[in-house]
Amino acid sequence: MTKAAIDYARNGVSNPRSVANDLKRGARQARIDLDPRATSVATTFVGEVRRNFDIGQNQGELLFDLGSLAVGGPYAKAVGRFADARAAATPAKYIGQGFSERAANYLAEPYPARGKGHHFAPKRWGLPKGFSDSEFNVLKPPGISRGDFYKLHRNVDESFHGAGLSKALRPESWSAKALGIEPYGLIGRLWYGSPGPLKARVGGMAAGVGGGAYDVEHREGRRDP
Amino acid sequence: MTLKTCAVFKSDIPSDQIDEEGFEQFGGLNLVEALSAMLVRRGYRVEPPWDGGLDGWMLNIRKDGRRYWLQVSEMDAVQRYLVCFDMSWVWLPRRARYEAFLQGLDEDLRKDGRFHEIVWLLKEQDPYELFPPASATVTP
Repeated sequence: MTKAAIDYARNGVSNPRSVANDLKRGARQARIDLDPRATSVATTFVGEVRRNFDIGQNQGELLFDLGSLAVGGPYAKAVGRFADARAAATPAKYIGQGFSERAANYLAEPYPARGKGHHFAPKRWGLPKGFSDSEFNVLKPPGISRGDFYKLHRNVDESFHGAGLSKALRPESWSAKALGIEPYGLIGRLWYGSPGPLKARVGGMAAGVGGGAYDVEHREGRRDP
Repeated sequence: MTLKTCAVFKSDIPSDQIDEEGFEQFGGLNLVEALSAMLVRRGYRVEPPWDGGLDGWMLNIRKDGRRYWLQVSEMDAVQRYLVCFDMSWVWLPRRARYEAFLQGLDEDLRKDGRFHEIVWLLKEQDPYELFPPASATVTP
């Protein structure tokens, strides 16, 4: 996460327009996510229900963000999202792992924007949807390939052993066991399994508490001669 | 004795995975709907299935103040993988109830003609160790 954040910052310094473009894209995406009028009406009833359902989910997430505004939620979200960004993988990497060329091409594709991410607090815990499906709980690094996302999911979730690929690629599938990929230890799972916005938020809160404690100590220090 | 809470099986229920451009959905919805119907017949309250992406399709199940969670995914073209979790807060008599839940599920799977070659596993066991994938080997 740190390297990706440094790379992003370094790129931003040398090419400020890229950061501006990212922010513009983020604002446009926010409008698409939250405003039913920002995307065109679907051609089928089912499609329209799905479009409105997605927007409803995003509005639920917004309520969580608004609730956390006082402690820097949206700021942490924006910072953390960039920190999660990953470099793209190439098919050669997956061919080297033993996949066919077609499967390797599939695994090197970016993980779909609509694809489900890794839930840091598992869905089965039954937490409120506004938090559970928010960017504070769902890890889906921007730019990550399908294959790297499978690996990351295994690294941070012991109960995930593998999954199928596209139907057209069957009988090939992705198995962590076959690739020798193991879950991280507890600390690794907590660190790498938590989304950037959550880390930024918790870090921000810790800095706030630390700063407050420092401030109290400093004032008390001033009272004492 | 540790409970076996996961199962690998085959099913006549065809894969419902969707691989359309711009819309992808992992398979397993038809499977969890079939399981949901079985559990409802046993008196469990089952919420609508939830799409868990790579983890498959999920069900939240309740009975007598207890809550269970069930996930089903398509490992490949043939094998299906089921995982159960006991999410109850109340501890006792936890094991007996959970065991009854798992036994009922096993009975129903075996009675229903659409499920075959059911093998129950411990949570720690890797299903792909029993049924290795068609490609992808460990790189040196």
